[in-house]
Amino acid sequence: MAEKNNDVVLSVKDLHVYFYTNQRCNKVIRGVSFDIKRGRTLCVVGESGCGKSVTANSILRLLPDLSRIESGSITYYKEDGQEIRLDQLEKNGKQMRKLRGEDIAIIFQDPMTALNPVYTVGSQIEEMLKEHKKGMTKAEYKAAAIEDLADMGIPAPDIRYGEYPHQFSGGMRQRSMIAMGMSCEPKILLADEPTTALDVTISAQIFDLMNNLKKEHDTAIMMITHNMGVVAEMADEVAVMYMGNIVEYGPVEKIFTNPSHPYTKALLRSIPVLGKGKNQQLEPIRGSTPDPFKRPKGCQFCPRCDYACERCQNEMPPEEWVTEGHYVRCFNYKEVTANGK
Amino acid sequence: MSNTMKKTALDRKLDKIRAAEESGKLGTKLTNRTLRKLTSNKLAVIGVLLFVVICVLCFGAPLFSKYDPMMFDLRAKMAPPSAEHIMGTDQMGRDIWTRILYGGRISIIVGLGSALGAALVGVTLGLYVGYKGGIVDSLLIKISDIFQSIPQMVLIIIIVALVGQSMENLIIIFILTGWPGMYRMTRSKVLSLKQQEFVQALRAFGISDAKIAFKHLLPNTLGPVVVNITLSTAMFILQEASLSVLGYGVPQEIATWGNIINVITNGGTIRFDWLEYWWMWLPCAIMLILFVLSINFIGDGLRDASDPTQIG
Amino acid sequence: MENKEKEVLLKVRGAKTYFPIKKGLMKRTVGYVKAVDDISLDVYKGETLGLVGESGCGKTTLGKSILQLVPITDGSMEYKFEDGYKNLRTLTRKEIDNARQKIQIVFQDPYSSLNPAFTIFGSLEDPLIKFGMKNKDDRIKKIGDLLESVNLPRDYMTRYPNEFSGGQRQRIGIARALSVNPELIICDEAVSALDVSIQAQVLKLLNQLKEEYQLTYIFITHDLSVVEYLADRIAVMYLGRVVELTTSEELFANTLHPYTKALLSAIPVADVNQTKKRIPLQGDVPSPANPPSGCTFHPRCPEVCDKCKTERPMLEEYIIDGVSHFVSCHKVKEELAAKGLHPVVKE
Repeated sequence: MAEKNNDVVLSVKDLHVYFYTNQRCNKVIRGVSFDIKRGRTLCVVGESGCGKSVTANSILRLLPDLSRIESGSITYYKEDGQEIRLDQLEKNGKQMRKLRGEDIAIIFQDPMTALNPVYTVGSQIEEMLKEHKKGMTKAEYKAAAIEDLADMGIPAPDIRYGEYPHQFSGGMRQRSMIAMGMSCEPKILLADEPTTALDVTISAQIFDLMNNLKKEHDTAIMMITHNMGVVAEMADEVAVMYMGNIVEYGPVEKIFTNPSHPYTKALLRSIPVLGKGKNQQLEPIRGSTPDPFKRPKGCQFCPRCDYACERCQNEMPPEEWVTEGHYVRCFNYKEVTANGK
Repeated sequence: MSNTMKKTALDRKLDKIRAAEESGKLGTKLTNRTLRKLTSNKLAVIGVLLFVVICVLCFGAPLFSKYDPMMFDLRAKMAPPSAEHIMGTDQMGRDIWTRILYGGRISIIVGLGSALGAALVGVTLGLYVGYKGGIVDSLLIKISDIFQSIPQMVLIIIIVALVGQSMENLIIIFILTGWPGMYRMTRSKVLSLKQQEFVQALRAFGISDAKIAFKHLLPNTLGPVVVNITLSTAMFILQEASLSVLGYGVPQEIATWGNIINVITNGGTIRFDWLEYWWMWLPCAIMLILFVLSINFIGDGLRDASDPTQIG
Repeated sequence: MENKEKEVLLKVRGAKTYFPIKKGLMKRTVGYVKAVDDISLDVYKGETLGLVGESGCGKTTLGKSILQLVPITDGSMEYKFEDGYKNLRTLTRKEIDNARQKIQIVFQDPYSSLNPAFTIFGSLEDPLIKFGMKNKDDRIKKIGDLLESVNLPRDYMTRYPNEFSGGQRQRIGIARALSVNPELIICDEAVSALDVSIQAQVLKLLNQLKEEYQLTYIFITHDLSVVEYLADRIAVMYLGRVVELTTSEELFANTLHPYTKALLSAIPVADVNQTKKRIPLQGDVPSPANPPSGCTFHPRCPEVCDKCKTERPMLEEYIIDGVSHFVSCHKVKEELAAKGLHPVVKE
């Protein structure tokens, strides 16, 4: 990956995560590397089962019991220059718990289940503050919680403070989740499909909110999504994942205008784009994503790929740099790029 | 990364799976996952073995005993275990081992019969009425509430007093008290299935309610029903025993496990110290415990095996 | 204009579907959720009509009401049978069965739309038995043909749903709907639960089947980019009402209703070169149990005026450059009137 510079707050290198269920071993993450930078949004895009959520959960060590980080490193660079190897911390140890929320926050897809229904929203935000910002008075905590809600654009925050999650709509709940996540001004915000459960007009509000956070607090955002539209809208950098690998990584313009991996290219051609009308040609990707227990031997995309060669069947292509900050895992990427849009 | 940490037992187990996976040894197993989990559960296997052994003993009783369970032999009454009577005789001189075997037949028939009967009534109602909903459903729920709020033993004793003692009556009474549980369980499962789109699709084709309920929903409720049948079989056998000990179960002259243990109440004609004459009730009690235990092991095994959230 | 010559397959007039809200011990009705509130529209034979809107706008309820899976409270739905139009609400038992063969549905969730306890054959055979295919060999042949028509191998009929991926299940769902040779298929978010790379396969399949079997679709979705690709006409719904209805091209080229404008601007587009200005909408969709007075969109509308708060605008048809365009907005009506365009007066 790129040289470590001051903007990198989190660096993941060659991460492998395997899941163990039903006496089988599922290699969910098979060597993933990327950096998250201050004030930038990294969008991780991929289909279900590609390992995008697992990547986010591994950073916070929120993986299920029957799974392991097998190898690789996750390094968090603190502002004071300290480097913390997140993968070596105890899963639920004191240090990891302190980092969660205080330095790295996560928001989930389903705002309905992410809040505890028996406590008021306000008290749940206060809970976060009390855990991570000690030594304030009761009134100060309350004021801070109300301010957080107001920052998220929730109308009448002083009333909403005392209400329960069921009294909130989906969009408001997601905003409260972000308020909770942002209450301790974390350096990194991990957003796992934050708007998938929401309507478009509401997701638009959430996106604006996240962009503001990025600008005002210089927060690094890692956003996981399956929607290419969201990627185009939100991302600075994009990581395209397929079956446990980042197959292409680069700046958003490069990925959209000059995709170098056959999967990225095929994906972009298979989605209807708003405003292009009825006559746009959709080219579906043939076949379907392989069973994780019957993976292809070499490149995971090989059986569905138009550019596949013999070599692809037997080995996984390494990360090759196309240009500065744009890498791809494909033996034939030059051909793919040359083939035009 | 694990080199900085001690390897736990779980880690070692996972290493083993990983090594097997990488060597390509793990293929997709063709056997049913539930079956595989059941057979790897030691207690469940022991349960199945015990169950089979006891059933064979009881239903093949004439093969394992040369006596008649009703045959009095007053010369040999209350004899301790001997070569002639391996578990001794009771106060009427009946061979205890024979009585345990023949008594087991009745107890198992009562237990299993009542459980199956209760399941038949409860599941049928739960499927159809639960699917249809409406007034009948809310009425049935209230009726089952009432049934479940009366102490079962009291209810049973009252009904026994009203209709008299017999094996058939006992089964009917157990069905009466047992169906509400089955009904509620099936109903709650049906209510969640009802929302599924495959049911809506069937409705869109105008398939009849009865067909949807009994053909399409039934197979989806069978898992918990089977678990429930095994567990309630054990429960009914115990209830039969307790009722018989109290003298309200199957008529005293018919051998059942409960009636055999009944001697400890000194309800017989001759008073004696039942601790001293342990063989008259202890072997039977052990048999009863073993059988109930075996059914519970099977039931628990089935429940765990059909629960997808457990490792296996 | 050319729509006028087309055959109307389904006429919905003033359809209302209200769900009672019951409270208390006696289950007294304390109010209604107005899921579908006075909708009138025509569905032409051979077209794809897109129904779009956000959650709670009543699009799914409307679809299910047409199928009579949900009883409608008021209004009529007239379907064109061989012997003329008949109201779907007042059919006899026999006619209902006939209607069930004409109108079918494809569901959203490929995981709950197939019975996990049955093979594909078991799941698909009952409708065939009901509609007269008593011979098992005939059914095996028919189901095999159906699977082939959705690009799946015939022998998949002996497998269980858990062996299939989401896209495959969705195709089986489509095959099931086709099994009774329907004329009208209601696709309720039929591709929303699928992965992007699979979505395109199913969309293409739907288009291809439409040609092959001369189907009419009502395509219900929240995803405007999908509906733009698929639909001939689009109806935009908000809180149980249609706010705008016109051809797909016209809707995107000449968006009239403020809600449609905001909706279009809010959709993230998978194209970094397209820049657009977002029209931010304040707040959330109100509850259909307690809709706002007047125009239901007025609390969130950026162009709200006093009239909107009290008087409910009607859905009226305009002919703009020869294209029929329904819209329900006071402001738009004024603007169009200023250009000399007036609503078409129905006889």
